[in-house]
Amino acid sequence: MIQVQGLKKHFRFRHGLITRLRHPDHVIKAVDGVSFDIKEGETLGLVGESGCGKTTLAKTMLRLHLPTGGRVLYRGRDILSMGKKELKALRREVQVIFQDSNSTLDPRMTLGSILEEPLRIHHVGNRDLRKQRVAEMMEKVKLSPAFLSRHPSELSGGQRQRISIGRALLLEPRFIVADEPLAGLDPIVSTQLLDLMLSLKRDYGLTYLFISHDLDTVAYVSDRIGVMYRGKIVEIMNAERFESRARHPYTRFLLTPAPRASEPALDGGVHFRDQRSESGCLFSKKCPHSTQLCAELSPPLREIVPGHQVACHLAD
Amino acid sequence: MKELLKVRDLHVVFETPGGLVQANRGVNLDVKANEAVGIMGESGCGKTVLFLSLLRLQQPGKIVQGCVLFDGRDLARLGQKEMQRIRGSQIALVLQDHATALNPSFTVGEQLGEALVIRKNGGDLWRTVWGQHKLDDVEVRREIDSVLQDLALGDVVHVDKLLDKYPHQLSGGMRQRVLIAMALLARPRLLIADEPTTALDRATQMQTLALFERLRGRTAMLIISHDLDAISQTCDRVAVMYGGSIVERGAAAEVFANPRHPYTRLLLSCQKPRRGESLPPVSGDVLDLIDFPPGCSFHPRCSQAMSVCSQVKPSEFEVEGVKVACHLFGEEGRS
Repeated sequence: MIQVQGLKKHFRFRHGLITRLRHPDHVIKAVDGVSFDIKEGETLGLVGESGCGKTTLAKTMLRLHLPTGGRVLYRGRDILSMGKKELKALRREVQVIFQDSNSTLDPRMTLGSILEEPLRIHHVGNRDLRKQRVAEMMEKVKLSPAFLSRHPSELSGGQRQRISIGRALLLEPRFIVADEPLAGLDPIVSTQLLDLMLSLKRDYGLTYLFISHDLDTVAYVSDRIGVMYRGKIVEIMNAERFESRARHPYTRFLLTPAPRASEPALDGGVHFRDQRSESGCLFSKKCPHSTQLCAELSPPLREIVPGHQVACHLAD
Repeated sequence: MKELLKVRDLHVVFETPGGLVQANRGVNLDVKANEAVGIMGESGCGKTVLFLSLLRLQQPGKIVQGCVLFDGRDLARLGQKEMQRIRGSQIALVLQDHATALNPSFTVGEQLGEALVIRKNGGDLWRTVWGQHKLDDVEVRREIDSVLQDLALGDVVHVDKLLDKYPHQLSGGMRQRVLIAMALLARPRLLIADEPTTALDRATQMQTLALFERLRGRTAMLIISHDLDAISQTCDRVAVMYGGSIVERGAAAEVFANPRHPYTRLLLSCQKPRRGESLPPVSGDVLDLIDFPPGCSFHPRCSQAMSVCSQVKPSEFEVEGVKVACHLFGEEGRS
């Protein structure tokens, strides 16, 4: 359904002499040559720590950022070369749920008009029909119709996120990008929302790209899992028995339980400023198994078992 | 061991146009010296109001009933001036939002130094402003070094470089550590940390937790979080909060191994979804803190509710060292 081929998004600095001196090529490689496919009806989970480029990848895939290189195909059509009309039709089929429900809902609109807006933009039905569709959606996301006349600030975080989900679903999309939909919510509300997203997936036959830094949730919802590190996919595999089969040292690091205080914590942090000096594997400086080869040559993403790709010299 | 902090029957209310919000409804809590206590509960259960009330920062909320005994003194009845001497120097707070807790226009070193000067002046802001105790740079540096050493930050970062940096130049995890260091500079007797691991990614979460684990046993801590990992790794005892009251409290290991209150069981079952298993059914929405159901506030969502639950608010029953506010463990539950 979706094919991402060698997608790149580099951000260029225009300002600041010092920043320019630090990055001689004036570039931060937020997404650097990412390729993967998502099949119809599948949920692909994308994990990685903050700052690894997950959100940039999602936005670039949807053409909310213009990519530096690479292609994104939706049902065989190149999203990047679409004209205005085609793009608008695409926007109907591809929807996104953002992380921060606080800033994605217009504070001055009532929830009723927030939900109706996408229908209005795409000229769906007349007023009465739209109202009816909105009311049906409120029922699906399990919110009382009394909320329709309220404003986003009157809702709790979990309720706001339900509205975001409802708004994304109103146009009956085929593919949904959910960027950290559960971030900042407490476990009970997250469980409710997760349940909602999964039941809607069954009802509508949706395809999800589920982005999160929470491995447990991603492992729960996904059919396949992609692990991202510093702008690259380092491992992509079946979610089935992910914990025991993951091979990349970075994935293993994410899977380790919290360390005791006596052990020094491995710093997996992202430091884009080191990027210029580095050749070879981006994880090699922090990798416990790093060899000479790792420091010199960047490992390509290769298939070690059917359906399991790893970018590591040592995996086989 | 002697109790450092004793909260008894604390009621905090907020007057709003929609009605009286009862954020805390009879909270009982004990923290012994050098003990780490975790407070768990969903958003909106009153965790934040509870710790703010301990510092008397709950305004515009009002403490209408109950007492907060800290080292024998009732903080709920102290004047603002006396509270100033307690805030920061006796009870220190590490806030959740590390991005806004530091002043963007001063370097880390200046801000740490300021915290130290305030402590040297006994927490009195007036005296600090008029500079009765000025510190020389060498002394400030020595104290900062010793705290950073305590936190084992000396090995991770170059201290000189860190002190000259502005908050925006640091990563989220580093800012969090600076905040903890700042709180510790005052050598507080109680350290309160509000959601210390949310808003951090996993690698940084682990580092932050390791840091709290180092502090365990050296200072009393109150750690507020809804993350099971954070509490089980850093706390000796845990209190579970629902609808403004504490429904279960006891040794963390016991509560996590044998959760007794139905709400605790629900909360723990929602922690980690396991692949292949279905999600625990969660009914109902977050409690409305204005219009409480009669009796036990959890009974509309509880699968084991009995008739007594909707009539009488349960008191605390002690079961194997754990205090549970649930009728299942009272007379009615046994019969």
